[in-house]
Amino acid sequence: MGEQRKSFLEQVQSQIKSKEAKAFVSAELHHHLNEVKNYWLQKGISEEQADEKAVTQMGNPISIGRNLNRIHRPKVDWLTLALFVAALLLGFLPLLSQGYIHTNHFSTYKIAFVVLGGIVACGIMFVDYRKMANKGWLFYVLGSLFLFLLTTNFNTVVDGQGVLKIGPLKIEGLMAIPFFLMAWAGFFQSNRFKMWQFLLLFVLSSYFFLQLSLTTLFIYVTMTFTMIWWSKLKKKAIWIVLGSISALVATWGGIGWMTVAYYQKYRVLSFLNPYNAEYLTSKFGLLEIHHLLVGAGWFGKHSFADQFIPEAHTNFVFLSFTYYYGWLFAAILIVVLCLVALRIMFIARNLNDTYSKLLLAGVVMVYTVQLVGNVGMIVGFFPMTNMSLPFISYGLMPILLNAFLIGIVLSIYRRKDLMVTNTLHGNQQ
Amino acid sequence: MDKRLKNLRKTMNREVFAQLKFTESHKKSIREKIKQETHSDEEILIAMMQLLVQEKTGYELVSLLQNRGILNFKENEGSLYVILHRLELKGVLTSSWQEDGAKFYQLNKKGRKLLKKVEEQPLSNHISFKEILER
Repeated sequence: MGEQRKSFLEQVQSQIKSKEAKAFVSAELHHHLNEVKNYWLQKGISEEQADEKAVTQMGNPISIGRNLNRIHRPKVDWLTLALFVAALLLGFLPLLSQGYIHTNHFSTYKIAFVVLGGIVACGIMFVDYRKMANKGWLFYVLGSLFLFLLTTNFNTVVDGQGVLKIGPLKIEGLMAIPFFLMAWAGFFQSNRFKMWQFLLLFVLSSYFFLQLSLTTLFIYVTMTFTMIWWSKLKKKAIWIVLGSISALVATWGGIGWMTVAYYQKYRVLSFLNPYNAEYLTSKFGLLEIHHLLVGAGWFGKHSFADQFIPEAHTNFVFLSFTYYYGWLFAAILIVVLCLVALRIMFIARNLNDTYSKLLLAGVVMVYTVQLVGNVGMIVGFFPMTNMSLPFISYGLMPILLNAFLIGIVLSIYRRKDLMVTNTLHGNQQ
Repeated sequence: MDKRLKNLRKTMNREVFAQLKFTESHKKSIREKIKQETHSDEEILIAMMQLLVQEKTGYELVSLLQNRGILNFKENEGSLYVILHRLELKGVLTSSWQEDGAKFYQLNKKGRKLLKKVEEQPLSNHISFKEILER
């Protein structure tokens, strides 16, 4: 390569921030210079002169580089970030309403959780998610190992959920969801991944989840069943496999009904038949929830008077929020949370590669299941579960999980215009 | 301060400007720029899109544009890639890399629609085009 050409390309590259863009811009200009050089060589001038002519014809490297940088610089999705921050801030309101903010350590923890969540989301944004595409096995093994250690070591059971408590820290099975999200996205984007591999890995991991918590298992299953549609497996095979799994689960559910704990039975029964008196007297039931929801009015009660709401800052946070701040605020909350999901779907629609699409399909599903599940159980079309309201419910695990989801979205958005590099590297190898 | 600036001017005259000559090629390029009829950004974009109905590399595109009398990219061929990349980002073009390192561009469905729309409009009000140009 001639000296002049080298310095020209270096000057263009010096203006471009993104490493990937540097590579493909330089490759393209290099090719162009070669063509021009060949043209002049055919006209019969010396090699050196031809090279010089080619470079001068290109124009000013600095301004070319600067303009290309404007197109290819990594982007931050400010809309998702703004929604994320808004949701996190809204998450402080339930604490405010219950006076926790003045009385004890809840508020300090909450601030710590939120800051940690922000760091996780922004940190993941800078990680190049595309490098994880062929590491599906690694994530699967890590996730399974985590679940295995948790199932053998959990020391507390909260509402049928196995939890490892270390001091104030509660480690839940929910933490494994990100690992499996990355694992399945990695598996499904591969052409060589077979259906029997899916079945084996899926059954094994589901077994672990089942031992820890039904709610987390439910999130896991919906996530996997959604992602598989974007895989390279045949649609017909997917239909058959998912259909038979569902049939098996239904049969197992019928048998399992005899063996589940009373409170679990109670939840399902009170969901199916909320106005049956037997289920109302013993515990906080749907009828009571309904009563509180309707009683809230547009602007809320602004006090809890002598109403007691259990789990008011975790599972029933939407109820306590609505009761205290009113329907109007509840509507704003729902709109903000729904916009997050819509934004992610919008980004996913404009992507061209399978891996990013798979990731976003999983992200949207994990997020939406929590949102619909939590609000649904308050409004009454979803059974009572331990589903937390994303960003709003108190607790480290849910915040970290959802921060991870947002981080993935930001990471994909940041690199979505650099897809061309894949084909470039594919051809250069 | 004043003295220092004067010194700077002296040194500049002595060192830098003494070596700088107003050569024949400078004159020529200025004359050429004066002669050159300039095409508006819209005209260039339409010509580019018309040429890209068939797959082409940036190099092929430059020579074809020059054949059409568009000389904006003369001595400034690199800036063509700025426009190409912008169009690709806007989803109007699709690109593919060949084995030998050549990158080909072609108008896709969205691009053909846009071209058709623009060709039917009078030149003065290309609203859909503005969107691509500003950014």
